[in-house]
Amino acid sequence: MKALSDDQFAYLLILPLIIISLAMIVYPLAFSFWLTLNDVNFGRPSNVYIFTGFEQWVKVLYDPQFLSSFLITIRFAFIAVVVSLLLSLGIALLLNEPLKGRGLLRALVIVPWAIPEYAVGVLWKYLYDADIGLFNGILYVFHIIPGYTTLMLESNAVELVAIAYSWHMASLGVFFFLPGLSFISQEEYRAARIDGAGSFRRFWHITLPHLRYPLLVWLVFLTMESVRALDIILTMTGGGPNLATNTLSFIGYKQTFQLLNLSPGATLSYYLMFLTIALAMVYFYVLYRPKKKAD
Amino acid sequence: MTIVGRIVRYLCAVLLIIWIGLPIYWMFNMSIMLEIETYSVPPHFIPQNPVDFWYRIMFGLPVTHQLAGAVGVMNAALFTHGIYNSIFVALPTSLAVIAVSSLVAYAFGRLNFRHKNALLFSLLTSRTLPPISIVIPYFIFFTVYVPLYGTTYGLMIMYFITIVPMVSWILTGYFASLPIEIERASRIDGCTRTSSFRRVILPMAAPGVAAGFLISFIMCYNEYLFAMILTMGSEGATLPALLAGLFSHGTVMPLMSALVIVAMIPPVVLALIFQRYITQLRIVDPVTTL
Repeated sequence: MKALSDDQFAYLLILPLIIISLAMIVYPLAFSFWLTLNDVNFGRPSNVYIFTGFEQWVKVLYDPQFLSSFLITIRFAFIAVVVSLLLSLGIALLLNEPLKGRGLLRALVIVPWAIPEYAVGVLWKYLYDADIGLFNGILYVFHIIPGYTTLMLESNAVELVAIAYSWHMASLGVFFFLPGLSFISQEEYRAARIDGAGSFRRFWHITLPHLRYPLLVWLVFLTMESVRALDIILTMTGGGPNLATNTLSFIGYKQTFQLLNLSPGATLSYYLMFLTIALAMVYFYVLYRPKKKAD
Repeated sequence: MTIVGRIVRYLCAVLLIIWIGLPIYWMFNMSIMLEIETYSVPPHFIPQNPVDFWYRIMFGLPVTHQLAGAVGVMNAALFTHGIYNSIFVALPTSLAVIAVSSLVAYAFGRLNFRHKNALLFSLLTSRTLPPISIVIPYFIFFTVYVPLYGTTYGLMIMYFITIVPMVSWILTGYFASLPIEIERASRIDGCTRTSSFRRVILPMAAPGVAAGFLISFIMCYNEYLFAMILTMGSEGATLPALLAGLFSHGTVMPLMSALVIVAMIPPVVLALIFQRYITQLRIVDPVTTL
């Protein structure tokens, strides 16, 4: 058999991926785009499909819920990203230190990620719960509150859900950082210590540059996941209390599967996708510095 | 190391254990109480009369307590069938995912070819599509054109196409981190490209491949939205789809707790077994290492 060139061999290997991308990206995108150009509503007894052109794209923007949902989505994603990032970096640094029982801890850390996201929603719902919640119980036992209260209010619901979401996601982040950390040589730290660099400067000038790429991958991944997060909202709040956690993703879900109104959902999804791509590009622009080739 | 530093370190470790363990403990704690006890104020941090009542109901075993209400909602046969479906979907899908992904990741991590960066970026953008916009077209496709709605096969296809880009992306960085000298040496010693891949690269990449399998399995098993939309209330209903039904009807909290505890056992056990492979999943920029 004639030897293949690098190009041919590579394309042979990624051929399945190209087919999958057609199925996973091109077909849904094309179909959704068709949906946005029509008013498709299975809730109507007749006239399910009505061609409307670009009307949906404008209508969705003028929907009073859109702006508030957009802000809720950004707020949720921002808190989830910051909290998950700090947590995962902190835990990774801790688990990189010599500790008795470190192996066991490293094994345990993955557990919150292994728990399904919908289950995480239920788990934390029961922690915050007004009747049987653990946090209420602890606050009550220590006499911080006189009686059980509703902890999840309209004002803080987004934050509470974001913390639960971070509990789930941070444990995956640890595994983005740990391998990178263990490859940093102790020599570098020793040299810096001799030069009089404090622990913060060692972290800033040695640890962080080594983690630049995992950090980028993790930030992009985390942002994409939290902007489109849906399971946890479905099982934990259902968009409530009083629409406080009504993210774009959740509106899209509600429009599509409860009101059977497919077009606004599809249009929202497009806006959501633009938002995610824009955020990912910002990360690349800020964080991505391709190194010069070594050889 | 200073004493203070050591104390702080162990204090952090204890906090970490509490942070991870407390939510799970609370869930378990409630799952072994009768409903009346869960409402006690102050709460019982340790149950006074632990019972296996809810677990018995879940699996259809005879119960000693006579409680009406919740019992009617729970269909034990359906539940065990759901667990079976979930595992039966996740296992073959993950095998297929890992077979395709390791080839793709090898190509991206180890070879230079035209349009590589653009293709690599398309891997990434596949994750930006909101799940709803993927599931609606397939929901219609599976109901109108190909009769796969409500079957586990439809779900397998969905999971396969959504997880391959993700796992390929993670493994690309891993393949790029493997030392290239060994591969070059094997080529000089007369290995063809395919035999070098099979005999040199794959054994080196085994931990990464194992981690990819784990990630894929957990993502399949844990996926909620697709399962709910495509299989809820049908023969092919997986565990999340069944739970979604219970969530929407509302059920007593201890039973819910017990269900969630049982649902999370398989992925957690797998993660604990395969955890050390994930720790080796080093991620390196595939664009600049070649």
